[in-house]
Amino acid sequence: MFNSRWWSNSPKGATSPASKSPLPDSPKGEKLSPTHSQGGSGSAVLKEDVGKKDGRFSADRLRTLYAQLTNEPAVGDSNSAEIVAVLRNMSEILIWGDKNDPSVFECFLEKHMLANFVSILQQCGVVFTKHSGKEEAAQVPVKILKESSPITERSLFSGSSVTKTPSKRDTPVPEVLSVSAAHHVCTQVLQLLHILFENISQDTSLYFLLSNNFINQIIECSFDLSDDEILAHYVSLMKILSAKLNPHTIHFFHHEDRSRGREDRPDPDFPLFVRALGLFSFPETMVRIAARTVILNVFNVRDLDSSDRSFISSITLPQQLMRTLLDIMVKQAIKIRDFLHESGIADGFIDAGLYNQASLEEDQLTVRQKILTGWNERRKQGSALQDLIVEHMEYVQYISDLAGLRVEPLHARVRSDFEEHYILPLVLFPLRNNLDALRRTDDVFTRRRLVTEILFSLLLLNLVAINLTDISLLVSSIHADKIFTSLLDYLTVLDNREAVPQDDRFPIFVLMFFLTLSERRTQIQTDGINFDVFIAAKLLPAVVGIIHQVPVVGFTTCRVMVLRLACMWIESSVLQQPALVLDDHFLAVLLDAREQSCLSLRRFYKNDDAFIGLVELEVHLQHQLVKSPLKMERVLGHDLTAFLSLCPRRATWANSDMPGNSSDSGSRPSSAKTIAEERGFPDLYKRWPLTGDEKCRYYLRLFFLLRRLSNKMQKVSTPPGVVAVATGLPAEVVAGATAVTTTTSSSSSFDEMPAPFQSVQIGDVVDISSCDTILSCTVIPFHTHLAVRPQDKLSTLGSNSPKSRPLQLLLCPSDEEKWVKRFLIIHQWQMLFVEPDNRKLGFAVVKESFVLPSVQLLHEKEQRERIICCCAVAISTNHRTHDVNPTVGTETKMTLKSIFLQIQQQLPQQLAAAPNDAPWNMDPRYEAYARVIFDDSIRAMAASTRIRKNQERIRELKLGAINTLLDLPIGTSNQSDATDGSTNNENTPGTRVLPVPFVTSSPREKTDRVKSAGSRRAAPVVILHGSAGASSQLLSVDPSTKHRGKSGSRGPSRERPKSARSTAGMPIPLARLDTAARSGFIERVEPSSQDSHT
Amino acid sequence: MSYAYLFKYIIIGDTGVGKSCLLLQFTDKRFQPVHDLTIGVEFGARMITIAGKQIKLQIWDTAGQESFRSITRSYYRGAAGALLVYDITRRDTFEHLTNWLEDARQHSSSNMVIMLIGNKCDLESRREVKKEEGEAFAREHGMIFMEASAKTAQNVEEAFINTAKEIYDKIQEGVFDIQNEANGIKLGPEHASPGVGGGGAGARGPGSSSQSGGCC
Repeated sequence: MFNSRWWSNSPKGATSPASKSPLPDSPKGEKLSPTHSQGGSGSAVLKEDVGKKDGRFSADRLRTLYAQLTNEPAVGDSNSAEIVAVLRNMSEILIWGDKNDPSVFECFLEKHMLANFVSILQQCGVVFTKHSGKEEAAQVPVKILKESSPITERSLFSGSSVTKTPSKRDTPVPEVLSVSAAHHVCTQVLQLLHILFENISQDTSLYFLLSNNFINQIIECSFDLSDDEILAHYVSLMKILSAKLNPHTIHFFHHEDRSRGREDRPDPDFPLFVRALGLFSFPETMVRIAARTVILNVFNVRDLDSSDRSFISSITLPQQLMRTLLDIMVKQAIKIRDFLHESGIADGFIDAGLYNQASLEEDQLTVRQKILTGWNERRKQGSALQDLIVEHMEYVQYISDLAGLRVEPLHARVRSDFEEHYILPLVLFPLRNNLDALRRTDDVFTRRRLVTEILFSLLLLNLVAINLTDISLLVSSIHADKIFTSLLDYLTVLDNREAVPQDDRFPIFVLMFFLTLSERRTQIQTDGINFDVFIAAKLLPAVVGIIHQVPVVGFTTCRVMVLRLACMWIESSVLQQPALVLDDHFLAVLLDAREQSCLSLRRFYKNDDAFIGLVELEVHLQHQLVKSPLKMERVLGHDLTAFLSLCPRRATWANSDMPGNSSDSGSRPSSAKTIAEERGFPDLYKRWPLTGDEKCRYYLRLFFLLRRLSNKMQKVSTPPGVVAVATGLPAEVVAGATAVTTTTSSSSSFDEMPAPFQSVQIGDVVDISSCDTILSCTVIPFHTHLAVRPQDKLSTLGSNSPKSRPLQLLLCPSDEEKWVKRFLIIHQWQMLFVEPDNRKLGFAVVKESFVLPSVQLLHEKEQRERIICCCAVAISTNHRTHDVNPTVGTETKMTLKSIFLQIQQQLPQQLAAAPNDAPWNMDPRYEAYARVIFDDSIRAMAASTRIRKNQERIRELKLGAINTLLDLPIGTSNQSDATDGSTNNENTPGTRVLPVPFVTSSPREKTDRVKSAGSRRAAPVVILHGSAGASSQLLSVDPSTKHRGKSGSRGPSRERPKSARSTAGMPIPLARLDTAARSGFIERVEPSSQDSHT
Repeated sequence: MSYAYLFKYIIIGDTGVGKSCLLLQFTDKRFQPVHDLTIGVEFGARMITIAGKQIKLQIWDTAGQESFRSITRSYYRGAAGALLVYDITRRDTFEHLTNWLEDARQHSSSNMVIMLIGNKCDLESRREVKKEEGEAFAREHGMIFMEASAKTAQNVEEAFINTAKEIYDKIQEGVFDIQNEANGIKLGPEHASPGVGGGGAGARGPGSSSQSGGCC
């Protein structure tokens, strides 16, 4: 006998990782007396036994327990609890014995205990059979029970003949054994067996356990599978057994006598396999999964001689498996198809119709509600479809796993059956026949049905291609060329204006399929067809043809996605196959398409900021997409409904296809989800452009895609587009260091646009001596309120009651402690608020920095309209009363010597913050509002002039770049060159704009400058108290701002409206609406467009 | 035996971290932890009570099937909760957590509740992973964390029950679609719709209905 202490102290982790350090032994309790162990109290009795390891775990103890078990005449209600307790104890002893004491197991064998267990199981089985026969309740289990009941009867006898069971076992069960007690006992026996097989570590013990055909008797017992517990224990037992399969043990699982002797019985000889297969379509997921695992494990036993042959050499087993499996799969697939038919997902959700209905008098809220309901409905259906598909794909992956075992004869069977019963009827034949049928028929309903079926087949093809590890299962057959050629037809649907309703969904799916193929090109070895030749000869012309068509048919028919996929495919194929070169003809077609898209785009060209903004946005998006290329899995996994729904018919929006119609964009509600969705796959969701802006963006996308592709194909060495991100900027002065490096943007390659980069960042130290205008000022952050303008309320004379007036986005100054004193510098593209550096005279620390194009100045009139008197706010929103400008008079005075800034979110943040609930978010475009008060009105005027001037120049630059991009003649955009003395950019349109460091002068010079700057000022005293000691004085005012770097800790974010950079990635929440205001539709306050300024 | 809900759990983690022992320890209190006896199981079920409701937990160990992609995926998808286990005495098991979590998040429904468990916390002397590290990892990935010991049964109960509580809360919030059996949640016989079946067959009711359902 092993010394248990020795064992427990043996090295852990390596051999038995689950082993743990010994518990402190506490001897207590007495020997177990099974008479006490009634139900729940059994545990208490066992607990007392814990300490007695010598007594508890030994062969003798096992013998005693077994004697108790056999002494019971039969399993009945009265003794079931007892039996359970005994069985439990026995399993513990057996596991202990397996590791510590061989005699325990010898005893187990000697007494034929396993036979006894089997007999108990069978007794329970009889009860279940009777019970279920009586009630005929269960449906699925009945099937299994019926199948196996003759076996059970027979094996009951054969079992008892093998074992040395006492004769009383043969008598019909005398005691009443209720179903619940039988459940209890049955579960316990199954758990015991489960524990035995799982924990037995010695091979010989395992062989003994498996021998004598007991294992098959156990597997074939009839169990009440309607009981969760029994079912689960049963399948996990099967799973464990299948995990123990290997060339040495697999013999035990063959039903020897039956497969040999009885020719008349068609019984299969592999009960484990048969039972597992029977559970394949069981309603419980976990059971199905376990059953599938068992089958995989069974076939994974390899022949000892050749590893690519399964030990299962019979061809009937794979045949049975595939029949069952494909039966399930085809049913599922047809369910998906029916779902597509019934749900009408493929028809798409046409909210265009709703928009048209929305006449002026109709409440927009109602329309919005309708649209949202429609969208929700569609989403629900979409997720139902997704569920169906995911479940189906589990089976496809299972097929893939089966094939991946690479064992014959299973492998060949999987290949042939999968193709014959799945691919051909569900994918190939429909694809081949339906398109012709579609072209022939005029009937609307037939068409609708055919289109849905085509889509279903295409969808299935794509999904299967993605989910198969070995794609040759799908295309390496004699049918591959048929699949390819029939797919080609679908690529031409865009050309064929008359015959087929132009439908961009077909090419999308087909292109996705070929992209998946080219991702795994190495796997394809087709016999009948040379894939490379096929690509070069047929596919390439077809794809180029599509590219040519997209700009021609335009957004009424075709999503950008089509073009993007086509471009991706051409790129990847040309890259993969050096032999495949686009010849001149194709190149010409590409360039033609590019020209076409450029022409379409020019219609939208406008000489205004909105257009520039659109171009910038698109440039940014394109760069994003180049950085993270599309993955087919992700695209398909994302939202299938987007693929499946129909593109709009041309009639709906054709009339508004004029650039001038964009004015109504504000009033037309857009679907709430589209903005959020667009972030993931912009090309997919922009299904039909509603507004002029969106149409413009559509053509911009086409243009950029084609431009990129044609550049690439022409091998023009245009560097891949790099967003001009300022890199390597920080020019922080380390304490004590003398040199001040200023910041220069190192990014030199602007692909399309001069981007509004920030060359100076917050926390940088800059030399202010070279700046000619430094204006001292006080910055008052503002936050927003959504309210009815309070002044109106006071002045109303009953005619227009407050509720009839819309809520308005109003501005409210922050508390006085949030006000900060700064110096304002306008530098090139940027507006900087600095604070003198206390360590170096003539230098300043940048506290805030904004890109000029994102800054808007508010008119005096607008200010009057939007800035609220604080007292009034206090009344309406319970805000603290401020004493800032209680009267209108002071307000006006204040207005004169101040400018009011609206800081727009910058592009990346704008996208990142694209709110899910866009319609309800007040104004996502602005992230900060601030009033900057100067010493007098002249300075205020100077500041605003300067801001506008620089903005104008930036605008000219950008317009110039756009002109070059679109090959437009160079306009008059170049007049305002060299207005700013501090910079010396060459502003020729199209040339690259490099920022020039503006702080390079010597320290000496700058001190002078500061001095002179100070003396020039009229009343700089507020902050500076004289000129020379400015820095130190300022520092004493606000020492805490020193070294604070990017995220100045100025209160909670809500109260920090002005910090563009400090919150990169985390947009500052604007003042929130109260819930009441939120719930309804809120008219978005459109900020005045910049045009009025320029 | 009747229950209001049945939650299906999976238990994942490297081999040898004591998953199956945790499982047996929780599901079958009658097997007392004994110093030189380690018994594990691949499946267990137990009834617990949350907010006065009887809830049955079914826990499935996925061990040994990692090579079959389809099987692991299916397991993840069919579970409402997952216990992610590592061994505090083996650093590598902690380092593999990221992979496990990635898999779990990728293949499971987004609602699946994942709990991180540092097992074998009784072996303080051989500890290689600090408790704080486990806590930090869990916090970072939005999981509940607990150190437990299958040996001493410390925290085992809590680990499973806390997960169940979280799932239950999610059900109350309406996050889970309980009619969809694929979520790993099943309504008990008393909840099952009367038309589908009663008595012993009732337990199968929601399951079989979800087979044909979904297209409504």
